[in-house]
Order: sequence, then C-alpha cells, then structure tokens
Amino acid sequence: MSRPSVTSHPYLDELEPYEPPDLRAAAARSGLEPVDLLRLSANENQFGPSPRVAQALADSGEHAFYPNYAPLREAIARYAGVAVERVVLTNGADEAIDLLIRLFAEPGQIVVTCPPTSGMYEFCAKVNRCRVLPVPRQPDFSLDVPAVEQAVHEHAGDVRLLFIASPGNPHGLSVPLRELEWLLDLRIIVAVDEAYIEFGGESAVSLLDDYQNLVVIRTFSKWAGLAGLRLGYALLAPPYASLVERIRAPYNVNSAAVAAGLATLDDLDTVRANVRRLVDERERIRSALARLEWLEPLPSEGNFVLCRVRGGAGSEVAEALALRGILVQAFLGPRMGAYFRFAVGRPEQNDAVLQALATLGPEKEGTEA
Amino acid sequence: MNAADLVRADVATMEPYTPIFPFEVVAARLGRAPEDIIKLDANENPYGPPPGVRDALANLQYAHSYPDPESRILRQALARFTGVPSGVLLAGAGADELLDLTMRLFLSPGDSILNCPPTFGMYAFDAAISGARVVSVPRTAELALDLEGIEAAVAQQRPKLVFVTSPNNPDGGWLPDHGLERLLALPVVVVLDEAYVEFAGMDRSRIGRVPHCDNLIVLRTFSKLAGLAGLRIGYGAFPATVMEHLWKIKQPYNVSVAAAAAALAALEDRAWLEQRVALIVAERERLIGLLSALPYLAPYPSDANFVLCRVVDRDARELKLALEREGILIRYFDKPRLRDHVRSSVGKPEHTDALVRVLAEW
Repeated sequence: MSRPSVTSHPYLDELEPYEPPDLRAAAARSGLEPVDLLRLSANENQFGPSPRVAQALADSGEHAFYPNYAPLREAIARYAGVAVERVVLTNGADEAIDLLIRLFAEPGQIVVTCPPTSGMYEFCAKVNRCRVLPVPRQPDFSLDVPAVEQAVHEHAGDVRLLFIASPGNPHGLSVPLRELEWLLDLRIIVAVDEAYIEFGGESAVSLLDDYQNLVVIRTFSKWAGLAGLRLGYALLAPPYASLVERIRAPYNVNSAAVAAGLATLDDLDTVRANVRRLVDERERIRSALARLEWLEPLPSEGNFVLCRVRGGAGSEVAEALALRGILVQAFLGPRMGAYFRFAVGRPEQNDAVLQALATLGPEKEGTEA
Repeated sequence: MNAADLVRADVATMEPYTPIFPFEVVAARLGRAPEDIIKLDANENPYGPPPGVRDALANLQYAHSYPDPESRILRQALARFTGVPSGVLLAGAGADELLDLTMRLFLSPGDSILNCPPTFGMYAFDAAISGARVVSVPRTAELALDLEGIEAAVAQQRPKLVFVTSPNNPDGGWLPDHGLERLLALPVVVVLDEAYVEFAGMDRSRIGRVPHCDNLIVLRTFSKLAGLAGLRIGYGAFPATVMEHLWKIKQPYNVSVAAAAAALAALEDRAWLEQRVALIVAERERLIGLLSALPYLAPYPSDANFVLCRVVDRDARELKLALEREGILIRYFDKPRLRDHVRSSVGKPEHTDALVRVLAEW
C-alpha cells in the first residue's frame, strides 16, 4: 500500500527554502565575532525597544497561561485611532499577510504585487497555492497605477488581492492616498503594508471608513524595535476582521509580544523620540552620501536608505562593507543589481557606515579609471 | 460592497473554534480579582516556568532583531533533550502552528484527515481552514481508539493524515504500543500529538521512533511541561523527506526570540522540570482518589495533567457554575461521548483542597 506523499503538489517545486544571512561566514571574513558585526541588513531598530520592555517581559505572570488579547487590542485601537472591532493581532505582519490570502484567495486565484517589494507577499501567495501577478513599479519606484488597473481588468474575477507597501521596502517611497483611492475603486482587496509608516508617509487608516476593501497591515518590528518578538496587526472592516479572527489560530500571538506591545504603547514618548532620531539620522546620512560622486542615495520615508552605485554593483559594495564588519543588503537582477540598502542606526553606527563608504569611494573610482 | 462577496466560500460557512475565556475576563464577570481565581480549565502548569526563564527574559538581548529562521540553538538543545537529531526537528509558534503546517503540506482541497473525537479541537479546525474533509471515527465508550473503525475508514475514505493525541485530551488516556503499531501499518501518515506526554513519564515519548519510521510525525510543546503556554513554543519531529518541504512553507520568523530564550532556559533546568512533573503526577493521583470518593463523580484514569469526570445523576453544567461562583474554573463539555462531563487541570495541592471542599458541599 502506498503512503500519502507530500511531493505530489507542484506548488512545492516553486518554493525555495528561505536562506538566512550567514553571519558566521561574514564574521569570519571580517575577522570579527558575530556579535560585533554591525548588522544593518534587516531594517531593524538599532535603538532597540522601550527600556520598559525587558522588565515587562520578566514581570509578566502571563507566560504560563494562554494569552488574553483584549487589552492590547484596545490599546492598539487607541494608538491607530480606529474602533477596536477593526483590529486583528498577528504573529508579526507576516502572519497578517498569510491570513489575508487564506481568507480571500482560493488556490489558483491571483495576488498582485508591485516589485521591487518585500518577498513575503509572493511567499505567502505561493504557500497558499495562489498565482502571483507582478506589476513592476516605475523606474523611480512610484506605483504604475494604470498598469495595475489594466492587470486587474485583464484577469477580471481572478485577482483577489493587491499588496502595496507604503512606505515601500527597499526604496522607502510612500504611495499618495489619491493613488490608493484609485486602486480601491477596483473590486479587489487592497492591502497596504505600513510597516514603516511611523518613519514617514501618509497613513491609509484615514480611508478605512470609506473603503470596505482596504486593509492596513502594521508591525511593532521597526518603530517599536520588537522584530524579535513577532507582533503585527491588521486594520480592516469589522465584518472582515471577525472573519480573520475566525480563521487565525486561537493563540497566535505570544504573551511576550503582548506584554512588550503594551509596555511600548505605555512609553510612546521614549519610542517616538527614537523614531525622530532615526528620521534625523536618515536625512543626515542621505546628505552626507549625496556628496560621494559614485553613490546616489534615494530619498526615503523608511528607517533605511537605498543607494545606487553609479557604474557598479551593489553587491560589490556590500562585500567590501562586510569585510569591515558592516552588513548591508545588496540586490540581484537587472532592475536592482546596482543598489544596496542599509538600516539607519544610532549616530555612531551611521558614522561608521559613512566612514567606510568614504574610504571605499576612491578605490572604486580608481578601479573604474 | 458586501463583505461576504470576497471571502472564500468554505471559510464563510466554517464553525469558529471556541477558545476558553481569558481569566481576567471571567474574573471581572465574577467580581473577583484575578489572583482570587483558581484556573483549572486549560490544562496549564500551576507552577509556571522554571526560575531561569524570568532571567532569560529580563536579559533578552535581541528583542529588536529578527529571530533565527532555523532556530538552530534551540533545535540543538531539543536534540539533546529528545535524543533525535536536530535535522528532523522543527520549532513552531506552539504545536498549533506545526499542526497547521502539516495540514498545508499534505492536504489539497478535497483531501481528508481522520479524527478521533472526543479529542483536541484544533485538528478539525485546521482541516476546515485547509479546505479538507474530516472523517470522524469516534472513540469507544471508554474513550479508547476504535482501531477496527479506523482501519475500515482508512480503507474506504483514504484520509491522508490520522491525528491521535496521547495522552488524549480531554480524558488523559494513553495510546498503547499495539495501537500505535496498527496505525503505523496503515497507508496514512500518523500525527501523534504528545502535548501531555511528560505527565505519563519523562521517557515515554514515541519521538525516538520518528527517524526510523517514514509515516510518523510526533508533536510536543513547552506549554504544559514548562509552563510556557503563553509564549507559544512547540516542536515536532518529522520524517526527513517531510522536513525538506516544511522548510519551504514555514514562515521565516515564526518563533519569537522570547519563546526561544525561555525554552532554552527551561531545558537547562531539567531537574526543576522533572520535580514539578513529579509533583503534578502525585497530585493527579491524590485528586483522582478524592474525586472518586464523591458519590456523583466518576473520574477517568489519566496519564496527563488533568482529570476528566462523568457527573452521575446530577447536572454537570450546574456543577461548573457552582465552582465558578467560588472562583474555581473548570471545563464543562456538552458534546457527543462527553455529555455530563467536566475536566479539571491538576493544580497545586491547595487548589485540589479548594476544589474538593466546594465539591463536598455541593
């Protein structure tokens, strides 16, 4: 008798396992210990969380019990300025992406993405056996609204969701609300990923009352420095929110994330001050890098800066920085091969990056000459 | 636009899972402070996590950094704890996530799973979300598996996965070796949920069989053993050929750094864990003895950290409510095979005393 096999699903062949960055190898090449690397490749918040978080984690008597989400849900509703019925807590924003696709798209239906963008939309779509229809952004990384509209019409009925990051990763550009409104008039779910909204751009939350098909996805990973604890949330029309509540695992968010989320929202002054410092640092870095002839830093509303290497490859710069113990994210392919991206850090970390890039410059010009 | 228009048809008609009420909510309803509530309704560990967990969380260094997608350090520690190689171990956000991943991997819409109620509710719940059918083969009157029934259902309905909990929730019954052998001989993948296995004996898990068996998956958790239900940390052992595919569909950052740090700290204090398990097992036996002495209760033998009782000639729901008025929460069932049943977690000795005091006067 034959046993059920997992390999019968063609969709598995399209999925590649996620390759985490190899910190050990990078450290070995730079001669540093892994903990001494300056890791700016994942847009993490180098100020870390509110100082109240560690105490909240240690003091919480809740870890032994299945979590109660009501207080955090209410606190997030107040923070975001929406009714609590609109709030769904998730195990990082990643889980929100997965749940939305699960709720709205059946296998074979289409999810539209606008690359370059986070890989999670495509990943979750494929895991849910949906087709992905990429509608690339313009050369300046703005949305190609007519092309999205055309794609939706061409596949009328099959397109269920559109994912738009605003501000978007890796470029840091936010989408004007009037463009979102245009897309919201299409009869599909428009999920706006606002992972970086605390660092810039205009939130789509103000449109929630007018558009039932709008979902805003947010996270505590970036502005609140809680990437490790996995706390995200989705804001959406109450009837949809109750359906997501129905299909999520009953205990999807962990008690440490709950305690840390509450502690953060109780200490907004501190966390917001760090966000302001990161925004100031972002602008300082960008002006400093603009003086280097071989680099073009793009304007950003995120906590990161994307740079184009004039006449070179982003991966070369990333490699050179890795040898100095600084990890940044380079990209591959014809569209993004000239770019690298790094998170804005604390002032002394940013100085280290600026210094390293300044020393790379002449070498680079030398090799090109 | 009508919300229902855009929702998957099978989801729109799905039954929601009913989680227990958070105890702050119940406390408020009862007009009591949360610390005046004795919570025996969710099989949680009354001793909480080992003391090292608090330090690990207070000194958490990397809350701002994404977790290791491969949970390498934790999986190595788990390999030492379980005796199976880390290469066949996967960590999840609770065993719940691993149940869901397993179903996603094996089930296409129209496929089915075999479920043996009464049992943990998440198997049927996850199957519904995956668009799979649930073939039910109810347990016998004694709540043992109906092995003939399962064999017949497998032959007729060809489910891909069979879900079995051992010790079973809600009765605490153990799946004997001969039963497991018969299941493993079937053309199905057997998913053995061992959430409570440590209370049957620290060395009784079947996880060691996984590397030698191509159709056995064993799931375990820190929720019960280590008092970490809130942190969401479970793990599973899978056949190597299945692992390869699980890595592809697992979300990269599924396990929080707090959960991983807490689990590591717990594993470092195995003596503490074993001591608390011994206390709970001893208390379980004392509780069963005291409950059997009551004329209207018939407790089941249990290998877990809870005790299921049939309420004889009296109203089980009234019993639950009477305890609730005294600030004691237990679980009441009104499902097939479980009419007039209640389940209590095993608490500390003082919890047992409080429970039995109210029961004696009821």
